[in-house]
Amino acid sequence: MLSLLIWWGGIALEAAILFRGLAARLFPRYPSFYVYVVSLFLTDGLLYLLYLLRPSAYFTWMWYPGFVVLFLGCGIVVETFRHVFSRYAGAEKVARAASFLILGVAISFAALYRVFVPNEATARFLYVRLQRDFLTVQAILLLVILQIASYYRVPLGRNMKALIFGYGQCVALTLSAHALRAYVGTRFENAWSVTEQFSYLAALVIWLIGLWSYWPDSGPRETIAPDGDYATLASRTKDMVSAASTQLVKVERL
Amino acid sequence: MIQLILFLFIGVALLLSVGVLMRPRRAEGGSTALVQARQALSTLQSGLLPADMVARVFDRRDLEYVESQGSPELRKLFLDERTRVALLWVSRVREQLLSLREFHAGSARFYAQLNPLTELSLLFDFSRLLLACRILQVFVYLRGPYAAPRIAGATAAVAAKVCNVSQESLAFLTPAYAAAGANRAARTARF
Repeated sequence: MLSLLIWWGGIALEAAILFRGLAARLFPRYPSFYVYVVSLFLTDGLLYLLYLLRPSAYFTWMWYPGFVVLFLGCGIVVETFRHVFSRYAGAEKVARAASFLILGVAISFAALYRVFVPNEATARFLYVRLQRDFLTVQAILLLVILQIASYYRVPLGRNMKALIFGYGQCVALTLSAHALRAYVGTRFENAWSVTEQFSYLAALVIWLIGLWSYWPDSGPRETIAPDGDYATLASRTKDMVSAASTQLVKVERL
Repeated sequence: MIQLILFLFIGVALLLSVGVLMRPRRAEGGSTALVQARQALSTLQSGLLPADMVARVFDRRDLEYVESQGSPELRKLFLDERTRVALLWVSRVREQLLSLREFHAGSARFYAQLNPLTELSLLFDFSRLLLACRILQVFVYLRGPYAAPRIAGATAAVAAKVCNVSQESLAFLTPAYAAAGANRAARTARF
């Protein structure tokens, strides 16, 4: 019964998010995010109809749309990347380099893992495994984006904060629940399912509130526009740091 | 078990990061904030961290004078207070470094030709230096400000150096620069 309530609640919230997205004209601003929500809405709605009309078919088909939703979830990370660093060419360059590096490492790891640890390919097993792998990569990418945004003091608007907070908490909780389920076993099955569903509902509520209307990302109030180029800035900072470092080392050696 | 720890670590780290994201943030470093930083630096240089003042704080003759009074309680009180002053100074140095790092990141983020490797190396340098400050704090806390005889001179040198570091990093905020900025703004306003 609780699962059904969460299901209905999810469909209602997804519909409300889409309605607000249309009303506030947010679709063109966050296309990847809304494609993801549309896919969730269609998946949940169609699966619910299938569940009502052909319950046996539902249990056969329930895993397949999950793969599509899983891939489309990456769109939120892309959306975050695009919006957070759009005004900061330098910060974007660092984030892009770090993201490619991490993606490369993750893909290599996934490929090698498949080669060395082959497993029987049932849909459910594959889904659970793929979900965990995807969530891990997305969690690491989100972490990198957040750390770089924090280091370069990139300000975020309310829409972006809601998008990141909603998806971030959902990814973090689902990943942790997955890890615990894999370790504890079937005893954790119910807790895993409830955690996943509630974190998903929480994400929908956060998105509905945060994306009620358009809030632009707050850019820098005044561009500092330093004279000279990046090399000058970097070498100047480097000189200052090494000068201060030399002096501090002297003090430590006393 | 390793898998569990790894995934839990990533999950918890992400949860903490998004939690920090929702915290209200200090106003972003626009021109006003940088002018305020410049004023704070001037206050530090003139009132808190000039080399002669720092040398005076760490002057061993004060300790010798207190010791000549022959009161162990007085000596202990004096040493405690001087240690507190030294620790306060190191924490100010840390603040200056953090301010410099903030300024560099605030400027560098706009450059399309930014070099990620240079940024990584700078990040490493800042981290190393901030760690050195922490070690210095422990050093002063454990051994006291008079543990090493040459600490006063070196401390004063570091104070001057760090003030110069911050001054250089904010050098573009001179009155001439501000006037140029005002002229630029006036020209832009006409369009």
